[in-house]
Amino acid sequence: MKKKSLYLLYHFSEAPSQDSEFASARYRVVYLFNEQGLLKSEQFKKVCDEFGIDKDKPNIDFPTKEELTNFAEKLSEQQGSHSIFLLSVNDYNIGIESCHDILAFKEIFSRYGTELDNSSSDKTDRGLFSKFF
Amino acid sequence: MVENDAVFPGENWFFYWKTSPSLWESKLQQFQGVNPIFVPIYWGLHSEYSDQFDFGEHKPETNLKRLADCAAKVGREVIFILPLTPAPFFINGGIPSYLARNISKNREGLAMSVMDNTGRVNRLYSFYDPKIFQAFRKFVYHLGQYFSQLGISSSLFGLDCMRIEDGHLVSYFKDHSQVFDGGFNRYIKQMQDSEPDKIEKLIEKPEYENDLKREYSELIRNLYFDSAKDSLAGNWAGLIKSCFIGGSGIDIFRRSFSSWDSEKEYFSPLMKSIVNEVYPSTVLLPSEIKAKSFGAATKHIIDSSYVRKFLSNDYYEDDFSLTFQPLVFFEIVETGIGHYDYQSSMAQSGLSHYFNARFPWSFTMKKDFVVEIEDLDPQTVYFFIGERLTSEDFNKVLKLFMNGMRVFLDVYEMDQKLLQKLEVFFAENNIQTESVNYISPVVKASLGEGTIITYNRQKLVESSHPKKVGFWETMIKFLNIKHLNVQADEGIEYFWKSRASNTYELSYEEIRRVSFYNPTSYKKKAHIVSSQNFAFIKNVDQKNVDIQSTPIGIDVSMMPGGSVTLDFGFYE
Repeated sequence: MKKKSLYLLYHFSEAPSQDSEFASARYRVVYLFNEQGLLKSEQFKKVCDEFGIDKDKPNIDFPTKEELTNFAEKLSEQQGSHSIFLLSVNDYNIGIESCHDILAFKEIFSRYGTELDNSSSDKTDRGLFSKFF
Repeated sequence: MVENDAVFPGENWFFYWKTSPSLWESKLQQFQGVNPIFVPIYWGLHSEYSDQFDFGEHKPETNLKRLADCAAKVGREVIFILPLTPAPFFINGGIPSYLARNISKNREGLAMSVMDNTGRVNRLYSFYDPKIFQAFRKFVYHLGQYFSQLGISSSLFGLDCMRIEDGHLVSYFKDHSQVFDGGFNRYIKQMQDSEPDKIEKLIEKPEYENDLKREYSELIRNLYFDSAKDSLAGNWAGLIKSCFIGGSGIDIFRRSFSSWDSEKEYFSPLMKSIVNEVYPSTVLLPSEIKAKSFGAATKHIIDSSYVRKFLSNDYYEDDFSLTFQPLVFFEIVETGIGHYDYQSSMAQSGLSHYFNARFPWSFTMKKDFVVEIEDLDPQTVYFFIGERLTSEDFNKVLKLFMNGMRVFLDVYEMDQKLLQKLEVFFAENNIQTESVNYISPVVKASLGEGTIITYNRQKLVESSHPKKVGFWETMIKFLNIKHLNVQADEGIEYFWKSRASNTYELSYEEIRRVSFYNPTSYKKKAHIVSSQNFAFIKNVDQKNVDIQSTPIGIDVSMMPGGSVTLDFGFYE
């Protein structure tokens, strides 16, 4: 897996299930982490507030893929990461079929997921670069 | 990887298929670890094709008789272990590859996959697949025939492989895949004729489906258990539940990052399995993770006496009082029918937090609790959740009380009839009760040494966190439990063990042993507060640790990766 990135694994529910929590949400965050470990909700409190996410609830849900993507982009920007990888549970399950070892597994997000670059991170880098040269 | 790590990947597990049979004898002879040695039987190795079974006829590494003979020759006791669930340390979870079709899924819908100690990804398949069960039944039949015909006398245990998910123990047998759903739907259809009342209840209460799913799961689980037990009756010794540390859903991601994968992540799962009386195993973890304090902790906890005690039900008759065993002050008794989240109840009432702060890991979650008068330890305090009590369980509460034991009873949503029965019991036996209102209404009844304290969990749930902790501090202080207080920096892990004093330690009633570990990257400190009734005896296994004894206690200064064990004598 690429360093200094965020990784978001999400569950897509085809149709609202009997689970009342799922009834209004179709995209649920399963895992959200970077190379240091799982992100704690207090680490992205501001983004949660911006998206009206109740931090005390055990799950982070979005009604559309677009909202999930917006959240991911904002999170990547706030965390100062180079990019964020989005991977659905379905795609993970397809990818895991061909993962036989740790090396293959490390590629699962980049091979089967979507990478969203953090454009502000590039801008910041350019700013810093121009400071010295 | 060192070859010995592959053959003996952790504790007393021997992976016979990882080395040549010609080396079995020398490997077993050289093994320095815990006894007896566990030998998991690799179904996929012995049955590569449908209806073909190999026990040494074609591949020498499948010759279990030879293995048993090698062990006997070098004086090692081996116990065969037959997985009754997907086993995370085997390719395909242990099943033959021709059966690897329907992958098992966890609660989040993720295909179940686990990384083993070599970095290989093992995918686990659903045991609800009827083809797997049919093949399993044939396999255990042939295995049983082989054991009896060749006179293999070693004991054999069934194995339920588990892992920790969100702090809870979950069996790898559990499955959320379509295979499970298909089987469950067939079960429901069948029930429409045989048990229509259940179907009616399901229509009225859709949430009843979860109970039925558990019932179906238990039914299938019992099919595997019974077929193994029946086929291997001559060697059958029982069921072992083992928790595979590093085998949870998140662990495969953790293992992908060296900056995330650190030994401190694995202490809690290790201790959670001990507390839940499930055998912990570190076979999935690479040797680097076990090289420092975590490795020291597993060696200190899982020693031969622990293994023998774990297997003790009618198998060994050793007296364990003179060997160190985990120190247990509190037993949370799990009662009632169906699923109940005891850990949530404990957390809501603040009990978990209090235990973690004051008595870390000195409690057990007790399933299938039977009151054996001669085995009762007067030091133990029992906790019962009233809403889970059946009439039979309620009698256990009274039996404990009458035999001088101390019991906490949470009366929240407890059956009114049982509550009345308790009042009548107190009145009929002239048992004096005292009542106070301290956060929750608290009633204390005493009879000799026996004490029952009732409280209402809901009142605690509604209270602030400091109030909850204050409540438990007051209640437990009242029981006058004698124990040393430890003040440790965040990140330090420690646990207690105890044993009876021997003939050279007659000034003490009991020896208490505390082991400290520093899995962090920083220097850390701990302090053991001096207390009446305790005398410091010695320190053992000191690694990267400085110890200073002062009039107010013992200061322990620990470098990263450091560990030390301290013994204290307890006297009245």
